[in-house]
Amino acid sequence: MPVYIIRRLGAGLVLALLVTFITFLLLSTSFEDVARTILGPSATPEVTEALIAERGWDRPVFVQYVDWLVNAAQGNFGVSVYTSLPVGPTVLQRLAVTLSVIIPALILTVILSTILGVWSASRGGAVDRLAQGISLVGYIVPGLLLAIGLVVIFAVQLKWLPATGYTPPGEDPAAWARSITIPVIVLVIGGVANMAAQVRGRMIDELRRDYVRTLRTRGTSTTSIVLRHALRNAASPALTVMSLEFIGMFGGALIIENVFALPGYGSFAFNASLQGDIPVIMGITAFGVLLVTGVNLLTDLANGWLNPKARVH
Amino acid sequence: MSTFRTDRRARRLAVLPAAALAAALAITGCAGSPSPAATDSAAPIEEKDLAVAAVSAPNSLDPAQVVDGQQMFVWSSILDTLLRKSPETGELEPGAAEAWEYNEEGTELTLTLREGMTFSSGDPVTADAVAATLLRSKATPGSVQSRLAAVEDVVATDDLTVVITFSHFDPQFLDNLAQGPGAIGDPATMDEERTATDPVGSGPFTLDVAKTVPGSSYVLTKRDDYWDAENVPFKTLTVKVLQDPTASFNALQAGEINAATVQSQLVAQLNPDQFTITPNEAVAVAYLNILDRGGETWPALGDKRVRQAINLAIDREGVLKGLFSDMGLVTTQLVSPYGAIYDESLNETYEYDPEAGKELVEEAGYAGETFKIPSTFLSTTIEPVLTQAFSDIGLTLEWVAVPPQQAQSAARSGEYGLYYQILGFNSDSADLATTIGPAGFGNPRAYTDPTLDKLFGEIDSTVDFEAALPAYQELNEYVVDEAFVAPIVYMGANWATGDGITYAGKANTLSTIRLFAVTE
Repeated sequence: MPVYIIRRLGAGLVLALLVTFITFLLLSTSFEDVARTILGPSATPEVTEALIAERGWDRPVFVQYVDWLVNAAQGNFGVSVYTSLPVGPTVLQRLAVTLSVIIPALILTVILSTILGVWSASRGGAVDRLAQGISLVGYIVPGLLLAIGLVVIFAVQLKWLPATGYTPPGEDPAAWARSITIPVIVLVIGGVANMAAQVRGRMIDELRRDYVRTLRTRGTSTTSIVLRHALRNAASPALTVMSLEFIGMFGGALIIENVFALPGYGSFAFNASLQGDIPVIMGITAFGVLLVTGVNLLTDLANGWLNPKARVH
Repeated sequence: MSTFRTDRRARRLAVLPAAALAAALAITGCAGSPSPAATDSAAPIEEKDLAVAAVSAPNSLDPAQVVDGQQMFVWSSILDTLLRKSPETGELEPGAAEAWEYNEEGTELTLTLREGMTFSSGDPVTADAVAATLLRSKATPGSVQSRLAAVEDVVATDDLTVVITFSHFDPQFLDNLAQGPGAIGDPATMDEERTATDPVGSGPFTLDVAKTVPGSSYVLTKRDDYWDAENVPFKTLTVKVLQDPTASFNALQAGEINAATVQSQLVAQLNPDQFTITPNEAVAVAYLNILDRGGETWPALGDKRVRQAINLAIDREGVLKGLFSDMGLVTTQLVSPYGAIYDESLNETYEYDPEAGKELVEEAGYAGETFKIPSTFLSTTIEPVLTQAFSDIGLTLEWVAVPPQQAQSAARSGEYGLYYQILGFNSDSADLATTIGPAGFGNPRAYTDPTLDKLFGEIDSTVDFEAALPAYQELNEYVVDEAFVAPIVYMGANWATGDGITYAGKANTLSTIRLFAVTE
C-alpha cells in the first residue's frame, strides 16, 4: 500500500508539472499584455519593453518556468502583478472560503443522496417515482436561477439570511453558517439530483444480485441486506461519483461565488484569468492540480477500504 | 435628436460602470485658469455608514500603481489627491493643494499646499512629501508613470510650496492631479511592503485591515483629524466588490449596501420610500473606433465616404433602446455632453440612413470589402447590430475572438482596422486627445493630417483652457465631419442610494466619496 500511495503521489506530481508547464507556456504569450495593463493604455512601447525586461519576462519561457518551479517548491508562489498580494497565502485563503462552502455541501449531498437513492431503490413504486421526480427537478432547474430565487425569498423579503458576503467561521460561526446557507442549498440540490440517481441505480443493481437472494432465503432482514450488504457494495462507485461531484462543485462555485459575492477560489481564478495575472493563475493551477490529485487518491484509498476487489497491493 | 441640457461651462469626467472599463479612465486633463474655489461646507448632520458597491476591486494601493475608475473608491479615501473635481460641474477644485498657478508657457506649475494636513501616522504632509511621491511615481513603472511623462522635475521650495517643471505644456496635467497622479503618499513608509495593501495616507479614511478582505470588501474608518473632516459625513466606508449586477441589486435590497448602480429594468422594483434614484445619462461613450484612418492597410477606411457611410449605417436609437434599455443618449460625438466642447447640433450629422450609406460606399468603389474586428467581452452584445449595419451598406464585418487580457494589444497590433470601444469620460482636454491625438492610445497608427496638426498644435500651446476652447470645438466638429470614429451612444447609469444618502455625480463621476452626500 505505501508503494501504491507513493506511486500515485509521484504520478500526481508529474501531472502537476505537466499542467503547470503547459499553463505557463500558454500564458507566456501574454507578457506584453500584462505589462500594458500594469502601465495603462498610454504607456509607450519603450516603457512597456523596459518593464518586461525588468520583470524578466523576456527570458526564455523554460528558464522562467524553472525559476517559478524552484520558488514554488520552496513555498514561494510570488506576488500578484496587480495587487502585490502574496499568491500562496491568498490562494489558501480563497480556497478555505470555497472549501467551507463545498465541504458542508458535499457532506449533505452524500447523506441526502444516500437516503434518497437507497429509499427509492429498496421501496420502488410511488416512492421511487417521487425520488426520481425530485432528482429530475433538481437536475433541470439551473443553479443560478435557484440561487437568485432563494436570495429574493430569504435575504431580500424575509431578511433571514444575507444576500451577499462571507464571514469566516473563526470570526463568528453563526454568521458563517448564515452566509453559506443559500450557497450550500444550491450546491446540494444540484449535487443530490446527480448523485441520488447514481446511488439508486447502483442499489437496484446490487439488490438484484444472487447474494441478496441468498441472504433473503436465509432470513436476513431487509434492513440488514440493504444497509450492511448492498449499500456497502454500491458505495464504491458512489464514492467515485462523489469525488467527481466534489471537483465539479469547484466549477459550480464560480457562479455561486459571483452571485453571493463570496471571496472564494472560483471568482479569484476567474478574475486572475481576465486580468492575465500570471503568478496568480500559476498558483491557482498548481493548487488545483494538487487538490484534484489528492481527492482522487483519497477516493481510491477509500474504495480499496470499502471494496477488497479494488484494493491495490 | 438628443434632448439633454448642455452646461457649457462645465468640464466633465466620469467613471465607467463596469470593471473592464476602469482602465480606460487612465488619462485625464484640463488646463483651466486656476482659480481656487472655497470648499463647500455643510451644516452639521448625523454621520452615516456608507456602503457602496463597486464592480472592480482596487489593484495596488501604492500611489505609483493606483488605477482610476471604481478602484478610486478605496484608494482615494486613504490617499489625498492634490486637486479635486466638483461632482456636479466637473470644475477643478482645491484638494491637498489649495492653490495652483502655471507660468505663461505652461512649463512650470506652482502648487501651494494647505496648512495643517497630517498623514494617518501623525506626520505632517509637506511639500517634500508631495515632491517625493511625484518623483517616485514618475520613476516607478506603473499606471501613473506615463501620465507624468512631461514632468521634468519636482521641487519643494518651502514647506508648503511645490514647483513642477515640464518639458512641454501638458493640457491634461491639472486634471490628472485630481486622479491617480495626484495621490500623495507618506515618504516615511512609501517604500515599505504595506504600501500596496495598506498605505499610510493623508486622506479622510484609514483601512481597517482586520475587517477587510482584499478583492472582496474593504472597510474604512473615518479619520477625525482629517483636514476636511467636517465635509465627510460618513463614519465608515465599506466598498463591496460586486461584479454581478444581480448580486449588487440583491445586496441593496437586503440593506447590505446603501449605494449602487442599478440596471434600468430593475429600477422600478426598488421601493421609492427607501431608495433615491439618480440617473446620469452620460458616463461613458460607446463607439466604433476606426483605427486605420489613413487607409494604410484598408484603403476603404482611409476614404471619408466609407467612414461616413459607417456612421450612417448605425441605428443609434435602436441600439440605445434595444441594448442599453434606453439609459443614455444617442451621439455622433466623443466628448461628454456635460462639457464645453460638446455641440448638440452635430448630433444631426449622421441620421440613420443605410441607403445613403450604401450609395457612398458604392460611389467610393469599396462595396464588398471585408473588415476583421476584435470580438471582446465589451462587444459581444452589439456585434449582431454592427454586422447588420455593415451588411446594409455593402460591407462585411468579420469578428475575431480576442481574450480580455489581449484586447489592448489587439487594438494596437495593426491587424485590425476597426475596434469597438467603451470609454469613460475623463476631461474635455483628454477625451479627444486619447482617441484622435497622434499619441493617443485610441489612435495606434498615430494618424494625423494638417488640420489635426494645426488644431492640436494650438491646444498644446494654449495654457488657458477658455482660450483653447475654440480650437477644441473646431477639432470636435472636424472629427465628426471626417467621421474618424463612429460614436454610437452615451451610456448612462442609475444610482440608487438609501439611508438618507444621495448621489451627486453629474459632469464628474470620479469614484470618490464626494459623489455622495447625506441629506437626512
